[in-house]
Amino acid sequence: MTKTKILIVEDERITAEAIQTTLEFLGYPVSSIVPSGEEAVKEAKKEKPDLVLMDIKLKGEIDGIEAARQIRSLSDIPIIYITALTNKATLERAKKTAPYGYIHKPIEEKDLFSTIEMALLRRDLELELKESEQYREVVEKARIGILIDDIEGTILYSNEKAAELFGYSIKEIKKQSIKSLVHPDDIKMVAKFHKDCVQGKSVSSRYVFRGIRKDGSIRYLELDAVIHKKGDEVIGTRLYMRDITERKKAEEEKDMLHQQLAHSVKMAGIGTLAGGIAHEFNNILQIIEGHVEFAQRTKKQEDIDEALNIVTSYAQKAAKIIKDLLTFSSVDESTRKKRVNIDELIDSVLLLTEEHFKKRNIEIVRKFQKAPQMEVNKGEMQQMFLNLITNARDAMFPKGGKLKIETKRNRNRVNISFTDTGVGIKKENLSRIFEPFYTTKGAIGKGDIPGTGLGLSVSYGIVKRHGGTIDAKSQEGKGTTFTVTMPVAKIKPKKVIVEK
Amino acid sequence: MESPKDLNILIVDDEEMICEMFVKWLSLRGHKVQYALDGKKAIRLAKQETFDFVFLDIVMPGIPTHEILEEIREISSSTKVVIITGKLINSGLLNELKLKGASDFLQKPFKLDDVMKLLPDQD
Repeated sequence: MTKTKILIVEDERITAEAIQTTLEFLGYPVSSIVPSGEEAVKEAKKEKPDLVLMDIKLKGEIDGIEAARQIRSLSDIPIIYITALTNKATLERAKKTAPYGYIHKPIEEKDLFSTIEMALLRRDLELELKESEQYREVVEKARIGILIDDIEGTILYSNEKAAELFGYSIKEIKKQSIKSLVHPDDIKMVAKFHKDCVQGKSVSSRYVFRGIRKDGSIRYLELDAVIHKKGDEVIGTRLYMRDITERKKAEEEKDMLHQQLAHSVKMAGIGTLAGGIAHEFNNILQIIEGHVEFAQRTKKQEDIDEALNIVTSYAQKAAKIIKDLLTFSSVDESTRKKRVNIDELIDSVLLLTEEHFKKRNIEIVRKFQKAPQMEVNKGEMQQMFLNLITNARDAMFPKGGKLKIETKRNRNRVNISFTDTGVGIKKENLSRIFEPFYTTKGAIGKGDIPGTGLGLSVSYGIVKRHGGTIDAKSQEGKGTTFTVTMPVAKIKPKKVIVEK
Repeated sequence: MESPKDLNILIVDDEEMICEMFVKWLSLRGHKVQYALDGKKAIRLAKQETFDFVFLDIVMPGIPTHEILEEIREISSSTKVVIITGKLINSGLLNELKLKGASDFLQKPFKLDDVMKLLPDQD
């Protein structure tokens, strides 16, 4: 700690030196001694002492009171007067300079000590107050909205920004209940956070809610709530709010685009699927009709019997395809996430494609480790699997090959890999495969196999939305492995709670 | 072709029961029918003997259909190749296959009469 420097203004040399000796004995270094008011002002400016001991009666143009006035007009240096005079008029003049103390001559050591200490204490308190006033200004002018409420949620304080966020004046927003500023659908959530906070279950929390402005419009606000105490007693919460409406809107727009994109890719996928199913169905119809016609024309009973058996077995095959198709499409298409067994979900996609794959000389090998349940959007997951499976099929066209599908648990994540023995992906293309419209198929990719260049980018989006990752490893001429890693545990809503 | 009877016919389809059906149908008319479940075998058979007609499915594993078509036509330009399709095909592909020598198209499911109409007059 730096020592308190004191400036002595005293025209009587002996008195000045006596004061200096006493001060130094008490532990206060003296910065300098000056005999006149003019010099005192000059010295105060130059040396910036912590305190000035000022004799009132001084030789020269100005007296101690005038010198003090001038010093105080330039700085906050506390002044203590030393005087032998006690007439009323002088006292009144001195008062106007807001002195920090009065010491009468002859000076006593204990008076000097206590007056200096009290003056320094007062100076410190004043500095603190000034600082807190600055803080207050920071809060009031802050660009984030700040509210303070009580235990019941009644607003006691609002800064300018908070009032502006809700479209009220500061006067209007005070005494309102927080509830009146929250969208009805979010009141329950906000009330719960508030209750947890004031009951001490959490000391702070962050969440997003919809605020209702005075004009009824809605803003998305990100809120940090902190417990507000007086001493040990909880008296309410402090709420810090940022308007994230624009960000939220952009996110919603992005989500909508994603959904539209996913939908169009799904439609394209269904188109491909429908083509395959149509082909298979027409084959079955052909076999059934062909054998009925044959039975009608042949004269041999055993031929008729055989033909009818074939008709029955193919009618059953057709029924099975329909059943598989229904299993696939019965999945809830809502955006809500549900608990599912990931193996069953992969199977529902395979049921539909396996027959088709066999015809293309593709063998499917399942290596399912008993995978845990996951919280996913079933329709999206199926679509992602279908994308990866059909990609593998196309990579192995027309030669055929092997598609190995593996699920493996790794702590709280599940790895789902799809390994094909197809043509592989060129090294220079590997980094681009998740880009939208990047394809080597169809009209865009100038390939024989139909493709839009959206399958993998949509799959990437789906996996990302589920908190997972997807990556590809490939060796040209040997094959490709896509690995999807998904979290097992339920994805918790965004909420930060700092436990007490 | 002077004598329409006893045509030598090859069926190329990966669905064996379709091939069997053709065998049954066309045998009723006294034609000689063989089948291949893939392009490789089809080309091998075409090299061994001359077929009057080949019924070729549009979706084949292994060698693509248009290559099988070209190969067969190269081996014997007198062989007529009919493309069988189970799904709607676009006109672009249709024209391409015609250019490569396909003489006709059959949309599944078809009748025995539809096939007969493509073969030279039996009476």
